[in-house]
Amino acid sequence: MSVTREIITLQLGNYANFVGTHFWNTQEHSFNYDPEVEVSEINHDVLFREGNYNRNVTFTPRMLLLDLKGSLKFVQESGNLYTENQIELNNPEKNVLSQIRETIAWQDDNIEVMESEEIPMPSYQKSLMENGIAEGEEFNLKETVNNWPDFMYTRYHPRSINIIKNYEYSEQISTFDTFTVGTQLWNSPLFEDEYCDKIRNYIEECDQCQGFQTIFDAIDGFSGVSMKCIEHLEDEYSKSILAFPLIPSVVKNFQFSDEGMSETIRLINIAFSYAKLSEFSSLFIPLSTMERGWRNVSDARKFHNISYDSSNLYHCSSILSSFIDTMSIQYRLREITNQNYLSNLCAQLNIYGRKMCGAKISFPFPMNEKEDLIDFLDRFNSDLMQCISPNTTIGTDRIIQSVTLRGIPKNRLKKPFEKAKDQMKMAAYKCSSISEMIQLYYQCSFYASLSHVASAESAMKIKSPFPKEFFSDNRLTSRGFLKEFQNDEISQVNEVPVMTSVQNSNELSNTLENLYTQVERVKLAKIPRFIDAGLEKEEYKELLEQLLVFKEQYDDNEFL
Amino acid sequence: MAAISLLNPKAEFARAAQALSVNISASKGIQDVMKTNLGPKGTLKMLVSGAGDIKITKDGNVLLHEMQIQHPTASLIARASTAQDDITGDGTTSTVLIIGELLKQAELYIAEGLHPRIITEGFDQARLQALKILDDMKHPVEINRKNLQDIARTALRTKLNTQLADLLTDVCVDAILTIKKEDDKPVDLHMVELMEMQHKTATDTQLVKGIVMDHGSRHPDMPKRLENAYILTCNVSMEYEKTEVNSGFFYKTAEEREKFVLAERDFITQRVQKVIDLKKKVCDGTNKTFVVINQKGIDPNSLDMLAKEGIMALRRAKRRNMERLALACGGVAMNSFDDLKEEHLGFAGLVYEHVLGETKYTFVENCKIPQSVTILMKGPNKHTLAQIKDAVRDGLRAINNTLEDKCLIPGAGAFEVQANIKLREYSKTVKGKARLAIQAYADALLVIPKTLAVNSGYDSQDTIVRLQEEGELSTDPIGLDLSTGEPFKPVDQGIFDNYIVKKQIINSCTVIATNLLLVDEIMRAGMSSLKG
Ligand SMILES: Nc1ncnc2c1ncn2[C@@H]1O[C@H](COP(=O)(O)OP(=O)(O)OP(=O)(O)O)[C@@H](O)[C@H]1O
Ligand SMILES: [Mg+2]
Repeated sequence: MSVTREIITLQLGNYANFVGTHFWNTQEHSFNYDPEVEVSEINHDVLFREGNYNRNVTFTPRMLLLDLKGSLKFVQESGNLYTENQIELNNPEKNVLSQIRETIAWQDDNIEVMESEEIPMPSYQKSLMENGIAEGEEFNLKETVNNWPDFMYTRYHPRSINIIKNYEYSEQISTFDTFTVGTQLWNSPLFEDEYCDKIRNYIEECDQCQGFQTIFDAIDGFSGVSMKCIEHLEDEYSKSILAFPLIPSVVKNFQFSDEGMSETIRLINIAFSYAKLSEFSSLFIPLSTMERGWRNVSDARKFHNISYDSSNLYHCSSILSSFIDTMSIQYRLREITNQNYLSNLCAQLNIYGRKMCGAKISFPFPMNEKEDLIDFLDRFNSDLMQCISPNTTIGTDRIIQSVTLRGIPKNRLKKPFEKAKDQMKMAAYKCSSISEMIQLYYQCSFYASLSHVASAESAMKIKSPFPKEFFSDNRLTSRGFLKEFQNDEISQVNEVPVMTSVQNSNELSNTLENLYTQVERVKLAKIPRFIDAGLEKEEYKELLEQLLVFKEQYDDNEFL
Repeated sequence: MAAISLLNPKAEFARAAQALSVNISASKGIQDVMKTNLGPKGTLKMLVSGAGDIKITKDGNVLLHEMQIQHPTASLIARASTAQDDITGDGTTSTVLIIGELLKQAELYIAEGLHPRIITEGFDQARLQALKILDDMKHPVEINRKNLQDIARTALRTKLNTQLADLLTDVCVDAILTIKKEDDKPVDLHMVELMEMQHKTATDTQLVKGIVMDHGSRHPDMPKRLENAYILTCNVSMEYEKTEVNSGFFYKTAEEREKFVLAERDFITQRVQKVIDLKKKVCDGTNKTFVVINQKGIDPNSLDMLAKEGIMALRRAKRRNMERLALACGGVAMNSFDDLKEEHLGFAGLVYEHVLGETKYTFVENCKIPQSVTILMKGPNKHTLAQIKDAVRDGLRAINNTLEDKCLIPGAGAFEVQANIKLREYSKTVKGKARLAIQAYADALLVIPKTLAVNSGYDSQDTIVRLQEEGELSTDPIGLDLSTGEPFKPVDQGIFDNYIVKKQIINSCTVIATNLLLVDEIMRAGMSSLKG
């Protein structure tokens, strides 16, 4: 019997939902509806569940998202797929009340309707709902998106959406401020009853659940909710928990605080998150497109072959989503080996309690259109990957890493024997698979390191609402390889090869040390809102201590 | 929501001199929105979001929180209302109205030059006196069906139309009578599970003397209906888990790892076999059947084994249902199968599955002496279900409060009228300006009967005068009959409120009004959050 190894995804926070929205869009774009084509090497049942609604089969993410009131805009809390009982606003024949009158158990003349103004759908969503997106239709999403529902392509199960009512989303300021406020909120009925029950509902459906992917905003109150949530997962299900703390490239000030104060609050929230993750997660990978995630966050990471706007959340989040999409392939493959488990990935990397890893991405993987992998690896000697973890630099020594390369067809590994010529002279010619060759590559280029490599043939699909403008400088072919000769011929980039690496090394000690020193300097008394929200001085000390102990895991070890 | 834009959000920057009037006008603003809610003739509010989400409520606290208030005065009031709800489950609209009215009354005297300090001191004296009056009005009740129905009905009819309210009254009372012990102590309300079922056509609520779960068996060959069932409740994994330890890294050779994997699987198989062995022992040769309800997972292999033996098995049951199941069916929730015996098993006359859309429900019914029950609510959409669920909670709380208090307070404004009369008498015994504050307090309480009158379409002054007259003459408590507009005896009609609810209202309203009147302190609180 072939069993699906399900993964449940949790998204907590506004930026997490930006990333998540891209992630699910990309997932859905990689579905194959053509029965003629060979079945995909990726098992979509891992992330998606089959359901039924009005005698139709539905396929929706095993996902729960969490955001503040007001962030959903035109989307109802029950989502936009199971829409049977939804009311129509602005129906000239039947006003809102009369549409549901019979279902309200109260005397007729005594009902007061308090209606908010209808929030219009952006034109992209309208087209999607009404007639689908026509080939070549442009929506200039880069300029028009101001929140994640604007570019939501995948439709969700009514269970998926969870809204915190106590805090309202605002474009100007951030109201949900501290880690502590977040942890307090966890004790409210929204979480105790509903949210936790929904997690249970998802798990109950699973035959062989591998664990959880948790994507969350580490800078605001969502950090606190997320840590409580992860603690709950660990306590209740004892399955693998992979966490991605996010630090957005653009941040708002918190209410009643200036920039300096806001920065300090973010710093503390991040530090608390890392400390707690070291206790409750199986592995965590901080992600950001900024070089630094705390104090003086200004320099954006550059990617060689894409042009993106580093102050646009819709842009930045798509890069982080591409990372998650690619690195997660190994536990989403259809073929089940002992390697292809989330637990395996975590166990490979979290040795000695070093649960934090750095992320690197090569997006797109910069191979020329006619080149073979063997030649590419032979000639390429600049940095193949860009780091996307904040305040992190990892060199080439004493590293444990898990690499995923996708989108290189098998026949591009090397030339067949008859035509191989010079390739034969290379040691790598004996490698018979992509992963083997990458493995060898790292054996040669990294000192005293250990690389686990997974590969997949399918490239990452690039389809609107993914920001296709990344590739507008026309340097890529439609399959995402670098053009050998620049020409004016405009090619639609339909997919790109991507490589990612999750890395652990003692250099991460510097990251944690930096975080620790910064946060240790803060005088808690100067930020009364933590205390006001119920943080005990002792607890604060303990968290700092926990962070320090965690940092030390990276210091004193012979092996690495 | 719209109405609260009357509150100026920048108010925290107001200078101290203006702060008092800001507080007063803010609380008046909220009072205006909430006023129409009060009582069985109040207005139901239907909130429609910009995306078309609907929330229907007549509950003060729910409304207050849906309104999204950022204003510090308002959030202080909202906090009082939440506290009221947490402690008693009722009286939140009254809380908001009385706070607003206390401030209004105070404003009149402050305008005439009375210092806020004197007013707050007088308020506190009045509070103590009001509590005494309340104690004198206690109407002791025996814990029986009729009395519990009276309190539940009064509460529910302020939230739902008569027909549905009366149905729910019986359901709530039956639920509590079923699980309450001989000693008539309050019950643990967690042992009443509220289960929602969204169903196109039905609006119905019923009491199930057993447990209903929102999941079913996950194997096609498992029985869907069993009678005379032994129930094994457990928290034991029957799932082979790919843990971090048994993956890759720690094994020298592939064979070594394979061996470990096999051993691990075998371990689970043996566990399942223990359950099967017990099933055979207790069921073979009888008409008894066997059901496993597990808080942990059960994987397809294990389900297969159980299905072959005709066992129905559910996985990932709610943690709380472990306790509920043991109370409903008897038996013990097991954390291991090492020493599994018949006496650990519970028993239910009937276990069956019911499928609705995507969701399977499992009913565990016909339990002998159920100490835990389920209220099953059916409704055509989410907002109706939410409305019913809120109401059921209110009903259960009202009954449980009665078990705690062993007394009730006559409703329909009877307490407020009586307190008004007695406080005015009392004020005459007080020397100095505090007397004025006590009178103000007495008058503020009248906002309840006044609002009840107005919401039913009667003139408020006219009504109050007649209530006061009647109240002074009568030795019985006098309230307002909302169907006639005439004074009447609420006790005769079975209209009651909970003692604890009124007590909490008196205390919290006085405290919050005092805080709002002593502006300096508020300003300081405001500043500290500004510094943040
Ligand atoms: N049938 C009735 N006739 C007259 N007054 C009634 C009747 N039923 C209830 N009341 C009165 O209505 C008031 C309660 O109204 P309601 O339940 O709407 O508000 P609340 O209890 O203050 O707040 P909440 O919204 O929390 O329930 C009480 O004063 C009660 O005595
Ligand atoms: Mg009430």
